[in-house]
Amino acid sequence: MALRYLVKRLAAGVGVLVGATIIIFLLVNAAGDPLGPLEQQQPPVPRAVIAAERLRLGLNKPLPERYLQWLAGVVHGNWGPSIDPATNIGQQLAQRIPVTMELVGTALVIAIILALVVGTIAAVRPYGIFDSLSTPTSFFLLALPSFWLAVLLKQLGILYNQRTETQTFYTVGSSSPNLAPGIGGYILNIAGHVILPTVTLALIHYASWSRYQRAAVLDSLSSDYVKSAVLRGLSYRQVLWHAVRPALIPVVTVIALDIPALLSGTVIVETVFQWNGMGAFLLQSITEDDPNAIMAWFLVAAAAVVGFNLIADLAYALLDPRIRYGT
Amino acid sequence: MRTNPRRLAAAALVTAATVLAAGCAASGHGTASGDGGTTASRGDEVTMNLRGAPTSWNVLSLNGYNDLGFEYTWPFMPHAFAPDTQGTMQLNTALLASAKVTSTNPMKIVYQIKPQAKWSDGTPITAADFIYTWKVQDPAYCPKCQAGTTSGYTNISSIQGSDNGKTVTVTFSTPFQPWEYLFDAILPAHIAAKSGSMADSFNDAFSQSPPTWSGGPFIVSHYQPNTSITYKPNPQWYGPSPKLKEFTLLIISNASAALTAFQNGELQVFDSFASQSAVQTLKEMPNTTVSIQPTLINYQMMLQAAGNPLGNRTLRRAITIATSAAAATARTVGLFEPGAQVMQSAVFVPGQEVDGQVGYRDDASALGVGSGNTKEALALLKGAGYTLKGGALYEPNGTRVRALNAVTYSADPIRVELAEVVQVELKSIGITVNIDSVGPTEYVDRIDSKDFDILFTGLAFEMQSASAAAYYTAGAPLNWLHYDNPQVNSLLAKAQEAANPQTAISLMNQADKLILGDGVVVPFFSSPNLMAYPSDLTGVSNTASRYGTTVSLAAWAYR
Repeated sequence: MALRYLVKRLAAGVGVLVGATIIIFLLVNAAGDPLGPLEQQQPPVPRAVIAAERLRLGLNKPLPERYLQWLAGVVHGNWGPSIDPATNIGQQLAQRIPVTMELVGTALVIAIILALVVGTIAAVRPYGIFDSLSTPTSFFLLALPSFWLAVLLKQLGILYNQRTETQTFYTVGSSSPNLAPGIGGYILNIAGHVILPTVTLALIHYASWSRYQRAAVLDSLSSDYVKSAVLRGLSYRQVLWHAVRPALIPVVTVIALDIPALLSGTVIVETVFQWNGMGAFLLQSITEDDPNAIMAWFLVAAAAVVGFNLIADLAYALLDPRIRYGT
Repeated sequence: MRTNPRRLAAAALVTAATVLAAGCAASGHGTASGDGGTTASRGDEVTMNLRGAPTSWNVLSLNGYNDLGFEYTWPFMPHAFAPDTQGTMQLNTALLASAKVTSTNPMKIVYQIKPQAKWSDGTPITAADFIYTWKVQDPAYCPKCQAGTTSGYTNISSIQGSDNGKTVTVTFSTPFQPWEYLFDAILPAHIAAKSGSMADSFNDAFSQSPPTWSGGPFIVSHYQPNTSITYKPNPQWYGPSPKLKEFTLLIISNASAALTAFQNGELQVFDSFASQSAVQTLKEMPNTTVSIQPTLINYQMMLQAAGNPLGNRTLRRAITIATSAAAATARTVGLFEPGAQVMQSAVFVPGQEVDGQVGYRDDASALGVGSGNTKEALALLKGAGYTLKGGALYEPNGTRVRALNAVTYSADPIRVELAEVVQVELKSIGITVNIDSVGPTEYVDRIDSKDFDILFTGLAFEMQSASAAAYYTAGAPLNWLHYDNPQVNSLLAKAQEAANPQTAISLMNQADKLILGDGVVVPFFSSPNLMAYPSDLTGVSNTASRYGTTVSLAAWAYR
């Protein structure tokens, strides 16, 4: 039954993605002529060269034909030609997705752990010292623009390095070029590059998630089954688990719904910290007016959103044994 | 017993502390004020920012022929000429013993390659390389080659090699005045021969992968896609040995990110377009040399020369007279470069030379272009039948002059500021200007479709007469103004063919006076390039040319 549900959801997800391809294709191709910058180059580019480029990019074909050709290519793993002949979009995605996953994955783990812990403590001791500190902190972080937080953390990192005369924090890239051989040095260098951008991304999302967790745990603590657990003489830890577990469901929903925001946050964070991930790829593709690259990005993002929402649905069944799919 | 919340709090603190400790433990690789914290000693390595990732490893190709392409390819390419700090091309004495015009009819140039000049695999650099470099940039020989430029190469009728290929005689069917810009990058013919047809080698083999060869002082040792390019000295280099043992270009597309990386010691050399905030930040850094150099790219205001209402020459003249180039300069680049010179020419930047002779002349002052003289502008308009009523300008037929649409580039604060300055100035002669500050894609689209009345732009004048012809000759691909003056067309065509630099200069300045007199352009100032580097790093040259700051790389060394 659960398997049937999973298959149905996957099929629905594919349908959503196909619909997304049509919208993405139409919007991107309505944005202008990608060969415009070439026509402006100085000294001027020969007309024959421009005509050859138009042919290579398929821009001489009608829109429906171009869509079908592109879609067929994507199904077979061919994302289409880039505006830059030396660029392979598939290779770019293969290089950049792991970079963004490193950033997003680390930030996601940090944000989830912090949000769950802080939100739970705040709920268990509402209006106490901890809650009184964590609440305004969360609101402050919610109000802070992400690019401003990123720049602030960079400046704090530079200040720390200057005061301690060390190279603890790095402000650009996911690693330094030409690292000395050795796994220890490699790990330390990676950590120095990872810390500032992941903390930036994590803090932004931790703020809202911790508020949801606090509200959900508070609500759960006042429910009848928790009161029953107390009256039955269960230990504090057991009672807390009875309260926290169902409270995770709304938070899981919020996290899944926040994935698009997380991905759009990577555009800003990767730009500020110059990580060569998917966010930087999107900006670069838009700057270069590379329609196939832009469409590839949006399609990958759409697939990520569909996937994470499916994972959230499956997580419900794990968290709440009352939920059974397909019955 | 309420210990669990404390345990949870402790867990949170431990998590945070672990993350911080991981970062703190990454210390110990150098100081924040010095190297990038990675490998060898300070004295032999430099890291500099590169404004974008390589789009092609073949700088002569369509996607490589730009400022960025020259920046990362210059260290490994041989060049016939190289720019000095003023942007004037000087003979590359490492490669050539001489390069001379030996005949003017037909035009012939003889290059004498030094006997020791060779590629990194030991193959001598010869006439064969010149011939290959010529043919791939001439559609008559390689129609499928996607060359970034053909200017000058299509003027060549033949190239002959002699003395074992070390003497190269280039014969032109039509003279080409800026010939020193030819062969600014030379490709290895013997490597091309292993890659199939001429088009295959040019479009694919040389373009798509980092080169494993070199004809310059450095060779690419490592390329991390979209991240960095590392160079080491070319062991077969035939010129003065470079001082650096390693040079890395770190790809940072965002100027403010590059600035903070420089502040943090991740870069030793910072190279970017100049801005007031960047200059101020860098000047406050200790032990740092800050260099601002005018380039051969200049900021200009251009006006449509056709349609309503700018098809009227008198109206355009009045606009160019009412605009104050001095005020515009003071409000923009003058804030951080007090000595910034206002340009008075539409075809040369101040100090620009043609074969060692200064080409720049003040052609604008006598015409009042850029003077900001509102009274003169109004008198001109009145004489042509225009009237000023209630702060608005009316045409001779009584129709109010419509608002003009000015397009500027939102990513360049200088261009945006220029538009705002001019908007205020033109109000004084009754003209309303609406500013469209647009992003890069729309900016190019608007220019391409000539969808503007006024355009704020930056134009490159590297190739002197060829550059001017591209903008101001009727039908030229970069003539966005519908501008057509037969005299200008003729003068610029003759200037391109003039073998004598004085003749070329004279013809260009005659054309300049006509262009300025037709009211299609107001030159402002030369676009400044900003560099910063440690005070003990010598040999760094912030050149005015489009070839970038790596031109002088072989001379960089720490004291």
